[in-house]
Amino acid sequence: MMKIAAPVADLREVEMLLHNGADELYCGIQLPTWAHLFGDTLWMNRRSPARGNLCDWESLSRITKAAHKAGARVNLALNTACYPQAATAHLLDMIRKSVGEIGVDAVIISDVNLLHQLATADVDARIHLSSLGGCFNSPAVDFFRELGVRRIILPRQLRLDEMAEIVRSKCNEMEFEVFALNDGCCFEEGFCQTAHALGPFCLSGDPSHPMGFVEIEENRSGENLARLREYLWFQNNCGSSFQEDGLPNGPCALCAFDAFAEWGVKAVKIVGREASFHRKMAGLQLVRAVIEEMEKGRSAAVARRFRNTPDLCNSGQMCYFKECRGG
Amino acid sequence: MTEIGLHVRRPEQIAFGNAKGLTGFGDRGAVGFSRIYIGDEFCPLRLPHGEGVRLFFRECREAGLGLTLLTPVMSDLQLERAMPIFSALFECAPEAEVVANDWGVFCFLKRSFPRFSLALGRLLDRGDKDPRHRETDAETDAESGAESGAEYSPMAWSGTFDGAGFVELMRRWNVRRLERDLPPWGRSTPAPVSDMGQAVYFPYGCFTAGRVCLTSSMSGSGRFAPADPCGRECEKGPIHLKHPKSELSLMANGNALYYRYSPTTLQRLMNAAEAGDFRLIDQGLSLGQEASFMPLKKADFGP
Repeated sequence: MMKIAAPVADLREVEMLLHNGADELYCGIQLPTWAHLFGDTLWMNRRSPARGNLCDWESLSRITKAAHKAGARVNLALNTACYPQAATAHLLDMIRKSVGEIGVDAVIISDVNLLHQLATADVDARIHLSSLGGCFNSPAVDFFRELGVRRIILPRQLRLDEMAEIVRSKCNEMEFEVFALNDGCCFEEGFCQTAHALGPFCLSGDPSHPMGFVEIEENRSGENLARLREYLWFQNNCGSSFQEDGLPNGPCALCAFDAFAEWGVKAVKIVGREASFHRKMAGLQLVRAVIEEMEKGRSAAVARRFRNTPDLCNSGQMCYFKECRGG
Repeated sequence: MTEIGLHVRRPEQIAFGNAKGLTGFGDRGAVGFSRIYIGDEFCPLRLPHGEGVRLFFRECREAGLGLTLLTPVMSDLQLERAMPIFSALFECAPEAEVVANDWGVFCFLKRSFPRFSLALGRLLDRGDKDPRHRETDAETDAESGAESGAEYSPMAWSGTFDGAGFVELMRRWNVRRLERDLPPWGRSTPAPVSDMGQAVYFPYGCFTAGRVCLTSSMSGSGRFAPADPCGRECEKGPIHLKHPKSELSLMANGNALYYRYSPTTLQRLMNAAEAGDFRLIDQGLSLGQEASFMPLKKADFGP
């Protein structure tokens, strides 16, 4: 059955995540030395140093030990799309320490230059390609495999049939991980060159100013701005809302789990390193419940019953992959 | 003198562009284009069909212009559907220039059409191009970075193409040219790369894009889903945007968002182009604007 990859950003979350059935934990780390060398606006990975990252080696070490004791794996995200040259040696040393001394199981990378450096350096690390790396077709799988990638996290803005083509044709030579829950992206993160350090561009601004644009040429937008606002609301976890029973609303691919398993997907990813303890727990419980139903031979379509949000589900806007609509 | 390309959507734009030429090079007057770009970096639906490629080729040959095909990110099915386009181009010019903006497309072309002259496009040149940064921040940052002894100034823009070993790797893969934007701040001319052609798009840089087309979806023809049916809303021209945190003019065209280079950046680019050895790619017509050479008059450059 598919593994569940869950986000962790704090040592205090580990016990909860392992207890609720995470098979893999993924995390980021932002050490004080990084900010000293490279400033505050170049993050070590795509998430906020303050809310989405561990801040010392000790935390990473303790998380890794706890995960391994429970039979889970730990993957470290170093997925900034492009690091400056000056950072390469620093990153290679970090990866050596993470993998060699601490025992991290894999590093998640998107920068082609870092992949190339890793392929030629004396570093024995298992490499996962971040969704930011942008693998959109089968020939790209060959490209990244030649650079040493062992698992590819497929982008959210692929269609189901496009993912099926890639996974079915390449699952014997590459592992694939796909998005399961939370946090949409209204652009394709593999193309986006905005700086999250300045705040997410797509979610900035109040609801009357989508993406912070104070002016969108009126003769071309009109009432259609309402459609954009609605889209952004869904992408932003339905305004970061929850159901009364505590389940989190937001982008979701649970209904597609049957297809993922049939194609040969290795792992499903719960997004949200920056999310609250509660969102992480409730999201993981939801995904685990669907996987357990599948293990009993039932369809993942049961997710709609678990969610009990027919209006949101029927809108189709809460699906990462709109073809899921209707379950 | 730098070579100048013109990105067009329709064959008749070739003659229009050529008649006007590009101004902005001091007293030199209008400079003609030597190459036509067709296709698109962001949307497979904006690629010409096979017959269209043949038509563009004939027009360019008659006008004595080179032809370059831009390609976007494509899924397996979209690649399959693009085969007649690549085949038509190969029949016309087996060593034609093609720009890949997707590693998979690059590998596919390298394998299927090894005689094509391949370039890497700006979508593969990753880095921070957020238009909310300001040029004044860049200057302040560079000064404070130098004073503090930091190893890196965050505003000293570097992209994938600047990576250590990247050019050497691309040379091994027979890449002929690297094509990029200038960032919205900071560096205003391309860093020289030995033995490798370079091209710079102007006067717009792209800072984000999606497979979901916001322009199409907002018009009501789409569902905010990739590869949705398309009402060709982008052909009506760009949607102009204003952002309180950006000093630059912004616009959406199709599934991509762009900033327009500042007058200072444009002037520096033109100065570098006059003395340099790289290619400029004028995008005005292709983005539904009046051609870039129209606004590029002396008054646009500022003092």
